[in-house]
Amino acid sequence: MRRLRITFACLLCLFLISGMTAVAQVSATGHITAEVITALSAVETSQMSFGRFSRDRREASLSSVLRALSPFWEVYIPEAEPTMLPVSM
Amino acid sequence: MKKILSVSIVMFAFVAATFGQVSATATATATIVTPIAIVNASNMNFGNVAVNATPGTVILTPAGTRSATGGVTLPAVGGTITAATFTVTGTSGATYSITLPSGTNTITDGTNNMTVGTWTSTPTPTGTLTGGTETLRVGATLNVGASQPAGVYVSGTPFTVTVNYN
Repeated sequence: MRRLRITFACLLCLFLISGMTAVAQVSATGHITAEVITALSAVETSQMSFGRFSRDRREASLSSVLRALSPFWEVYIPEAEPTMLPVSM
Repeated sequence: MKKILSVSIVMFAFVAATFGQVSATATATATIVTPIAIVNASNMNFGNVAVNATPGTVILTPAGTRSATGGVTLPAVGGTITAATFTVTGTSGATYSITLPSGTNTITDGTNNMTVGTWTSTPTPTGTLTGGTETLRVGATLNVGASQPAGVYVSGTPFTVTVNYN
C-alpha cells in the first residue's frame, strides 16, 4: 500500500512538472513582406545644344540682364568689359 | 524471579515499540503562476526596395528603421515599414528568455526568392513582464539579389519566436 502511494506521488509530480514545462515555453509566428520596385534609370536620348553664338559684342540680351539687376547692383559698363559692383547701403 | 524477568521484558517491549514509531509534519506549498503567452501583434514589412545590378541588404531594426547596403536603395516613398511585434503576457515581474530563428526564412513572389536572416529583438536576450506584459519587437536583414525582379515578396512559411520563463 505504501509503495503504491509513493508511486502515485511520483507520477503526480512528473505530470505537474511536464505540465509546467509545457506552459512555460510558448511560441508565436509572424509573416514577412517586402516589395521590390523597379529602380529608376535615365538614358540620354538627345544632347543639349545652345546653338551658335558670338561673344565679341555687347549683346542686347546681356544689357537687359544688367538692367534687371540694376536695382540691386550698380552697373558699370566700360568700353571693354562689363563689370558689376555692389550697391553701397 | 522469573516473573520479574517476564514483566521487565514486556515493559521493555512497550518502550521499544513507543520509540520505534515517531512522526513529524511538513507543509506542502505550491504556487500556480500565470502561464506565459505570446501573441503576434504585427508582421514584419521591409517596405519598398529598389536594387541595381549589385546585390545588397536591407537591415530592419526592431525599432522599425531601415538601412541599405550594396546596390540596394531605399525610395523616399518607402511604403509600409514595420518590425514584427509580439505581445508577451504572464506573471508580473517575471523574466523570460527569447529565442529567435537561427536560420533564414525565404520570401517569394511566386517565382523569385529572397532570404531573411540575422534576427534581432528588443528586448534581448531576456525580457521582463513589468505589469504582466511586454511588447517584443523583432527585426531582421533582407538579402536582395542583383537585379532582383520587381514584385511583392511574402514569406511562405512564417518565422517563429519562442519565449520561456527563466
